[in-house]
Amino acid sequence: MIEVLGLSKRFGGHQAVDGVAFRVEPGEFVALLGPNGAGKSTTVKMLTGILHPDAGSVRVAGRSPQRERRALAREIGVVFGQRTGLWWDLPVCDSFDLLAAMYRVRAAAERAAELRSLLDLDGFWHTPVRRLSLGQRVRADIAAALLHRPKVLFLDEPTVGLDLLAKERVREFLSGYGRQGATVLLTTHDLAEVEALCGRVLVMNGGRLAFDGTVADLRQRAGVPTLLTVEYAGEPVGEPAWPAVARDGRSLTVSFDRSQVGAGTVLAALGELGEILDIRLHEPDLEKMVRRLYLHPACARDDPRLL
Amino acid sequence: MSVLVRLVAGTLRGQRQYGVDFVGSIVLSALVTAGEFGVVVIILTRFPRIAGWSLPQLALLFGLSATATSVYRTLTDELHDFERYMVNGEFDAILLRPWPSLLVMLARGVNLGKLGGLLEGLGITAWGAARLGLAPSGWGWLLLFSVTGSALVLAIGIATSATAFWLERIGELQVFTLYAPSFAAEFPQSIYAGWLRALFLSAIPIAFVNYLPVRAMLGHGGGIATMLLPVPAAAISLTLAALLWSAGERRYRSTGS
Amino acid sequence: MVYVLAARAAVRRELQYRWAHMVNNLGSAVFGFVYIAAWRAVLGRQSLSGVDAAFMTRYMVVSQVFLWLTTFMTFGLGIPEGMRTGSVAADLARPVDFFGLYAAREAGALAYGLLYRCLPMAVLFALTVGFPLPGSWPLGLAGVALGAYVGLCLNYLAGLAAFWTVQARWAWGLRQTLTLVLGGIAVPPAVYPGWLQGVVAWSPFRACGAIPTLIWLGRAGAGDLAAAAGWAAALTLLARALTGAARRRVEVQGG
Repeated sequence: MIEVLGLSKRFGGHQAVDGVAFRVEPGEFVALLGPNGAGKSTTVKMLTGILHPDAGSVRVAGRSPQRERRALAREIGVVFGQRTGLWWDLPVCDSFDLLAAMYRVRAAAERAAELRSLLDLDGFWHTPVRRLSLGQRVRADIAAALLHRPKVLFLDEPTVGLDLLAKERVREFLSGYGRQGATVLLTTHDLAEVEALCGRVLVMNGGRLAFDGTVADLRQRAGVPTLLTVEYAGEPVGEPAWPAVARDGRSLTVSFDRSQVGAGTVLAALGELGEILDIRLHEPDLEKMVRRLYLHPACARDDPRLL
Repeated sequence: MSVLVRLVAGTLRGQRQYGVDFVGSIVLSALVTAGEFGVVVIILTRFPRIAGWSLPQLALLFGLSATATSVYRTLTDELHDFERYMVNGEFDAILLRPWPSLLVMLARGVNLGKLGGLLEGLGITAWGAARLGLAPSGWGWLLLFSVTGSALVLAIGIATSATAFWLERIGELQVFTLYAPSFAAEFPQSIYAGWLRALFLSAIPIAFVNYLPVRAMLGHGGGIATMLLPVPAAAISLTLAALLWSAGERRYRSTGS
Repeated sequence: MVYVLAARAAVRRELQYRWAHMVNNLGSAVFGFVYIAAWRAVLGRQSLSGVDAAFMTRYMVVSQVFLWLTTFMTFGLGIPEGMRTGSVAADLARPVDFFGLYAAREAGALAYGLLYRCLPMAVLFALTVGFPLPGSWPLGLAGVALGAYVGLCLNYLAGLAAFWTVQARWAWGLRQTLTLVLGGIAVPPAVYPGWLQGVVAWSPFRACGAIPTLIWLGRAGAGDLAAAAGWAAALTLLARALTGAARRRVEVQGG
């Protein structure tokens, strides 16, 4: 559904995107992560036809975003969380009428009614967009982006600035939308969102793709230490083979690298030190892993998918 | 086409919802045009002619120039302010639509508040035509010149806005490419120095808006061919402006987000 | 001093765009060339009320150059924009004189304009059609300074309209048109029909156009300067009175 090869873009002396390549298959829900200035937005803008790349090729839904921008616009939906695609001074319903005309949407009334109930827009359907709360506006914007039944949905920081409740509502809807087999590319800083929604993660840093894989892969690859706390029946005897982070009477916590050794092996080795009553495994959180990837992109370079 | 009509209707509805004071804007735009014409009238109360042109003849020049400029301003509330789209990256949203971006910009920018100047421009033209006792065919020609003149000023305006893709800021450039030339078009071109006349025949083709065709119509130089000249001039100018626009669109940088 | 700081900030803001302003100067010069050409065509060899083609060239050149000091200012001195963004309410609460603050900001922009708009245009005209030096430097400079101050007051008053109506642009456009017609920017009042000359003589707009230009050219003297000074004083009083009214209006409406 999305094919990117050798994509590059330079602004003045700054290489914003540098030889990025990836594929997204139909039905995939993919997250695009990276620190500010990593080239995420520039990449999305090249995929949606806003920017023209200096080098490389892009196909989205079988079309070139640059040569067939207008035809592609009918196949994709785009939501920029910071901006609205709706008519600022008009009621929400008017924006939908205009978009339906612009995109020549078949059975537009039914489609609008369906999205209205899915995203719960009824309470403000006749309110001018400029009077909506941010959460209401984002929901209306997502509905508007889906009105013409796009094949690919691009979401750029859709929940930035929303309160927890509003975030949860958007996330719930997107999760349901993803389950129906939709293709979505989500740019975000919110890693909880990534864990909840995305099967696959692309991490960009310095204009390059630093990682491409599942969230589980990311845990493996990032090499952020996992902590294992073991409660023994008596005081453990001897030194563990991995660095002890804490040792307090009958409890021992060691840290190890999941990319080097499996949790089972570590546990078996710790069993040598005494009889185990209970264990607790602390998975490193996604945030830490991603930050580590940003700092040491080399640790993911050996990923075979990047070749 | 019907989509375009609905988009324009949406734009107008939005302005009404926002409480834009139409009467006030219309009076204001009429006031500015009236002030400028007032100066011409005052000069003509003391001197019968400017470079051989009487007041009714000058009214044709003035009226056509005011009409063309007002049509441009009526259609281009957003395009005229295009540097905002560049500085804030607002042009992104325009490029996401399945339409030519220029058309979307025009549909968003219709502002009937600028109609005051248009009505006045048409009124002054009609007054000049009536005083000169023009035959119906003459009125027909003037209608054609209003259309081609508007297209020419629109083309100059589009080209100026398109330079924002390179320069970002265009507000000051518009003084040179739009305001000064449309003011210069209120007088016969024969009074200007050679370099200015050359400029108004080439890069800023304002001479085709009114001077050349009206002069031919009044029998002062050129025939039917000169009177038809604005048609190809407008077509070529619009084409070049559209080409410049799409070249600019390709190098849009989408900053400010 | 807070007013000096406000003025300096305005200069710095303008300086960022000085190259764009050079393009604008070129466009403004075209306005001058058009007026000069029109007057040369109208007058030919004749002279009317002491006005001939050579005089009109000098008149237009001086008038166009000082337009940037006396007439072309920020829309309503930035008051309508400040009403929209709320900065006016903040400025009203400051322990400084409101009129003084806005006048100081604009004065900064005008000082910039003197260097980057008036001066380049004067040079451009000097190289093409000539730019006359004043008959008397003290009188000439005083006339321009008073013209700038009167213009400042008029723009401020137009801006104050934003306290009573959303459409302050209306008041501003009215001021612009009246300055063009009654101020004698494009036409020296001597050429006007008699009845209009009477109106012009009793309007403050003359202080922004005809008076400074004619004094510069040595065709007017201390009498007209005194008239401009009178208008400056009267408009200052009016501006202060209306600022008080605007302040009360905001207090009643709670901002």
